[in-house]
Amino acid sequence: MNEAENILSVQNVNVFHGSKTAKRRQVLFDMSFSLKRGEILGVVGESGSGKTTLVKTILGINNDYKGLITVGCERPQMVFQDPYSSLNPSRKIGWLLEEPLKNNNCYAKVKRRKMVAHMLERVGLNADYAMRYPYQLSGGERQRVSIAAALIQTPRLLIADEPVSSLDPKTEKQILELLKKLHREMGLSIIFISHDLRIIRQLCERVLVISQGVISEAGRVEDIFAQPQAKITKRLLKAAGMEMGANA
Amino acid sequence: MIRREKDINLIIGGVICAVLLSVMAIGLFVTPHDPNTMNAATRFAGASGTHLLGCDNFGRDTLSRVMVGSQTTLMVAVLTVFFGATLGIVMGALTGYFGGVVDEVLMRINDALFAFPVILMVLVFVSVIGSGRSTIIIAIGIAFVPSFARIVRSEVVKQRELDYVIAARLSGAGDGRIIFVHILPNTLSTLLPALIIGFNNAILAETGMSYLGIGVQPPDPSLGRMLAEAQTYLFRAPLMTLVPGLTLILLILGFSLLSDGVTNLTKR
Repeated sequence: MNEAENILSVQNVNVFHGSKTAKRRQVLFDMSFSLKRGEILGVVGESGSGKTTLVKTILGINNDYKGLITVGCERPQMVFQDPYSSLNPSRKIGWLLEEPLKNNNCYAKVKRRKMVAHMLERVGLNADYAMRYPYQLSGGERQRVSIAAALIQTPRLLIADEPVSSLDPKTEKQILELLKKLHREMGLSIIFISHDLRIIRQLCERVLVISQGVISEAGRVEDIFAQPQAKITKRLLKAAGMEMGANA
Repeated sequence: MIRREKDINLIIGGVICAVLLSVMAIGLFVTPHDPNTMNAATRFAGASGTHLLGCDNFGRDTLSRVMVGSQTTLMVAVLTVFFGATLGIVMGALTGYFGGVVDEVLMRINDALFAFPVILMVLVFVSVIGSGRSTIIIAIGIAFVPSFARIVRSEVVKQRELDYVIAARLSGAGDGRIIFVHILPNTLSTLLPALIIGFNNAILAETGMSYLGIGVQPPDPSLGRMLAEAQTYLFRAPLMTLVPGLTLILLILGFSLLSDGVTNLTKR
């Protein structure tokens, strides 16, 4: 791994599901790729292709794997697909945002509160949202809070697992704009997972196309979109109404 | 989202419990007569201005004894549930969260405890450490552990897979913090009605044990003890049975309705 250039390196990773005693099966096969610092990498594939398994393995949530994963930063963070299950329903937003800072013994209480208010404003929410419970927020607002909770620890690597798939088109656009803005401002490296190639085209520089646990195709977004090689890529482009040469 | 509309069970249960608890609270400071003072002149006395609910076979004021006796029953029930629920919650949370060997070992111990009838458990404890309040608190409390452990375990198993738990782990929270600060508050909607039902069961268990003579010992009053003493004089002095009996029924009814109301209130 080129330490200076890459923030993440995945080499020959094979991932397994199920208990070790029964029904253990391989779900990801010999995956290798890297992510440069400050880059947005798209990971695209159909449902069940192994996208979420891949990122959970990178984050250390799934430990049943063989191969080498090197993460060049502390505490990479994740924004989840479902904004309704990713926030603790019994805690106020302020508490949720303060929690990572408390866990890592960062800053005094007053400073933490200020940081929470600042982060809420940064993701486009009023500081008063700190006093609300998740059930009082819309899906888009929840997703903004999830992004704020992930970024309050100033991670260098953010993994966004289909963060807009359950949102309406208007909110989807707002969240994507927010991610672009935060990427610019904070120099974040982002792995953006989606099954929608239109979103990948808007946001990412490079893309990995995954099918049945295998990387089918990888490269620059423009190249892949202009000359798709794998069948799965062609199928996904067709599904997004972006067949070769089409401008979506 | 917590439902805010009025719930008739909650209101009726709340009123019954509030009235009974108020009477018990007053009994902490003042009772019409000393509950343990005997008086041959008032044996089996009926309701009168001096003794509103009559007297028992030793001439002791029934109202005063119910006021103090229900306190004893309530205190034993509260401590029993506290003891049983604390152990059960910790056991259920650990087994549900960690799974694997911890789950297998603790839940098999749980199954073994579950197989013991409460009465047998109490008799074993009484024969080993003697009868009394602390004995039944420990014995009934231990008998309650498996039910609380199972409820909490199943909730924790559901919750631990949710994204907010993964997010907490990524934010640097340790296992203890994830279990007790993140997950357990979210089991409250299931746990709270179970605690109230457990409380009812504890009242009945304490009353049963005291009725059998292995719970609260004379001359201290408790509802079960009073019923045991009254059974011989059922027709001669019916108030002796009716007053503690009705108090017990109202107490159970009140907390049952409250449990239903709380269940509806916490449905999300």
